Amino acid sequence: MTLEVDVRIPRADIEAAFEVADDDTAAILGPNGAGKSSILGAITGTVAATGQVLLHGQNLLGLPPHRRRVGLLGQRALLFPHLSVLDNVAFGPRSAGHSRRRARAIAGEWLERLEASHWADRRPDQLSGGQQQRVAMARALAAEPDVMLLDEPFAAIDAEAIDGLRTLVRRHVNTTCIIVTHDLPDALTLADRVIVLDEGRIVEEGRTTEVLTRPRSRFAARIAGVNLVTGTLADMTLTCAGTTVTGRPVEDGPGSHGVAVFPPRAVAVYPTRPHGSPRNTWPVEVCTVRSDGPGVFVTANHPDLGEVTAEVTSSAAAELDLQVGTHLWFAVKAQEVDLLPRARQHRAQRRPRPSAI
Amino acid sequence: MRTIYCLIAVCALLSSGCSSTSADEQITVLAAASLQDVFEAAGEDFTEQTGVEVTFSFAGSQSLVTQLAEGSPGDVLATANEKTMDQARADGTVADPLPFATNTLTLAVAPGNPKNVQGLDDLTRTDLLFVRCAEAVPCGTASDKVLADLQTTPVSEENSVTDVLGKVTSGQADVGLVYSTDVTRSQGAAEAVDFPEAETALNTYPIAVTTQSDAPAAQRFVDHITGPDGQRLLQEAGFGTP
Amino acid sequence: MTRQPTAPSATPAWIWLPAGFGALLLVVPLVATVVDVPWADLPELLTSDASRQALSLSLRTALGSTALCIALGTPMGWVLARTHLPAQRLIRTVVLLPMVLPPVVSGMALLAAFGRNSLLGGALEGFGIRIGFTTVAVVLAQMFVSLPFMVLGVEGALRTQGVDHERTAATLGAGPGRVLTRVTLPLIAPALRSASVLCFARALGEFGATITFAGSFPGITRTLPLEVYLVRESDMDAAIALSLLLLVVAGVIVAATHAQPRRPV
Repeated sequence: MTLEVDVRIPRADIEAAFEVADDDTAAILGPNGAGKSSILGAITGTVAATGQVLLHGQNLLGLPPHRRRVGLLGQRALLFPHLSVLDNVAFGPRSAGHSRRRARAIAGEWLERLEASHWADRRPDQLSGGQQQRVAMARALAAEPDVMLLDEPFAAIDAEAIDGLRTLVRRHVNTTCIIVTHDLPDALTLADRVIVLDEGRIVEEGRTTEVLTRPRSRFAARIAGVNLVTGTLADMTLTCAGTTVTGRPVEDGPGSHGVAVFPPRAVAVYPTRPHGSPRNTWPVEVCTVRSDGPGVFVTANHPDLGEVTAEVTSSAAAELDLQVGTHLWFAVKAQEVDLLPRARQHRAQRRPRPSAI
Repeated sequence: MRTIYCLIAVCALLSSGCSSTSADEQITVLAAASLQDVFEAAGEDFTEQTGVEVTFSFAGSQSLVTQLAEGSPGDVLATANEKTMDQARADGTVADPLPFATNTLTLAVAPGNPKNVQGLDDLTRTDLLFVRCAEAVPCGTASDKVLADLQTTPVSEENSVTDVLGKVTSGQADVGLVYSTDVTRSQGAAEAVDFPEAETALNTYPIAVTTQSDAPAAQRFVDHITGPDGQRLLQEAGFGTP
Repeated sequence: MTRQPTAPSATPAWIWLPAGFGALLLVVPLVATVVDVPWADLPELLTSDASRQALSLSLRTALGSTALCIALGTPMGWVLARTHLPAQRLIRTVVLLPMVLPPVVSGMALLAAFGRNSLLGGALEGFGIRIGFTTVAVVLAQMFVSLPFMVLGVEGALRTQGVDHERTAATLGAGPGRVLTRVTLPLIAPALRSASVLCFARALGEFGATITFAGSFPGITRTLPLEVYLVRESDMDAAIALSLLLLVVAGVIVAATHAQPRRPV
């Protein structure tokens, strides 16, 4: 079932319109406070919103939360502590009017599907966080929602349990689904589409691979682990404040606003001004140094471009005297820089509805 | 251990503070609550005449007797009945009590007597809410005496005559069996309906100097109460002469 | 038995002194009462008609008023915790006021509301209904002083509990009624239990409002505390015996409230 969302939440200054196609999964990305959870709240009915949320032609905003058939799996499992695992999962079927026996049978099936049958008789507080979340997923699915909302479902889970849970989500959440996440793997493995939200507005939207390989918003770039500079686009260059970035245009697009995107490993680091070919050489000042596996990520500040991250090998890092405040030179080859027209800032206009509905 | 000495020192300080302030004579009188107005007036006269300061402690007779037995200070004890005074004598806290007033039972009704209560017989009426003292308290013993031949159905048996009167003045009850002095003291909030049978249950108030007292003024206060000045005030308040 | 090792204490030594004095202040009177109990006559004193009547009346009225407190106080706590009334703070203050009022003042207030000369009581009297001097008055007096405990307990529990579980239940298709009975009430059950016990204790000990408002008649309005106060006038032994009874009941109540396992939710 296609979900069409077009809501305004005046209290949080949120305006967003998007659509999730039948049985698709959309990931909503965005910095903290961007309004991601509020949008989910508007869909479940815990946050007051105007506009409409259409599901099979019916506006959910006019329905009480328990009639919306919208399932939710949040950061915390929120299992009912007074019920056994089985009865937790049977809660949805019971609410739907099934007999106690039938409800427990349905619950048993879901526990089995999620490989959690052996906990059926336990109390929630006897389970680990990851186990609880798995039961919570079974509980949400057993209620057979038309739309499933996942609100950072793995944020509070131990790292080693996340992969298993993610696999379960991919295998068993077959309905139209929205997942709010901070995490690149979540978006890559679960979402067909990505919606990037910032300060209550959608700043970028598209197919997951497209957005994450060629991000046009700072947040998507951060998630994707690439550098992004916004500025004025002209032919082969992008000008940001007084600095010009040279690159290769990837896509034609309207407007002169654009972004330059380049991965950290394309950034070469020099203690003094380098001589030779690179078109893009910038004096920068180190702000953070972070090591991740064999690589060391050096984030440095440029007065015009803002923060730029470079990836160097640990041996190179050792020679560079990387302290916060150290002055360095960053250089990027023009062919490593993608120049993209920028996503429109406000995408509130609704796209034409597919005629199939 | 040290702390106990501290406590004793504090207690000593407090008690010496009380008794040493006035070199002149000062006495403490423990009196039944029903005597409050009369005794306060009599106390003023007494102080004027003798220069002796009088401190009063008014409470239920039983409480006063218990307090004395527990070692509470007091020079004179005046109770609302002889039974409690007898108990004090048995405790050894007083000697030689003297009757100084009597009190008779009466029926307290709302001002104007709206339910037209004429005498004890009316207490059997079913349309009246009747309140009395519980048997266990002195006024209850007296009530039992006058009600012995009647089938009454009180709605409440209160702990004190004041509570009985309160139920009548607040309009909760229609009629209450109380002492005539209580009605006098209510200053118009209740009206008395006297009945002849009250004579069978005269309540006598005794007064006595306590055995712990070494103040000569204590006996003078007793004399003042039993003397003409005291008796005049008592009669004004509705008490009878023993 | 081996002695458990204890970690070095962070308690300053002098703390024991005021703590000890405080404990003495509480314990000595209780112990003294128990010492004073005429143990030999105890069975006789406690099984006298008056004692049995008072005890039975006390238990019945306290249970009744506790049940009513649960029935009315839970919705009140809900309203205070979950809805936005205008002047919410003022309403809460007024609702909780009887908790701190001197009992006699509560009695006067009840008299002013339900007494024969009052507006409400007068109207009821017109229908032939009298509240004063009846067991209903006792229950009313007990509710007046104990209901705030229930409201406070439920409101606090609901606030601590939050709405997350309830919202989750709604996404699972449970309507408001089902959420209340299957989720909210079970979740606050421990708080509900301890608030009920507090209510019961407060009702059982109610004295001032009862004696002012309800009167004192054996089997109808004379509850155990009133009986203690009355027999004190004539029979100290009986009063102490009854006090022991109340003490034991109080002890059981305190033990019951504190024995509850506190499960982290």
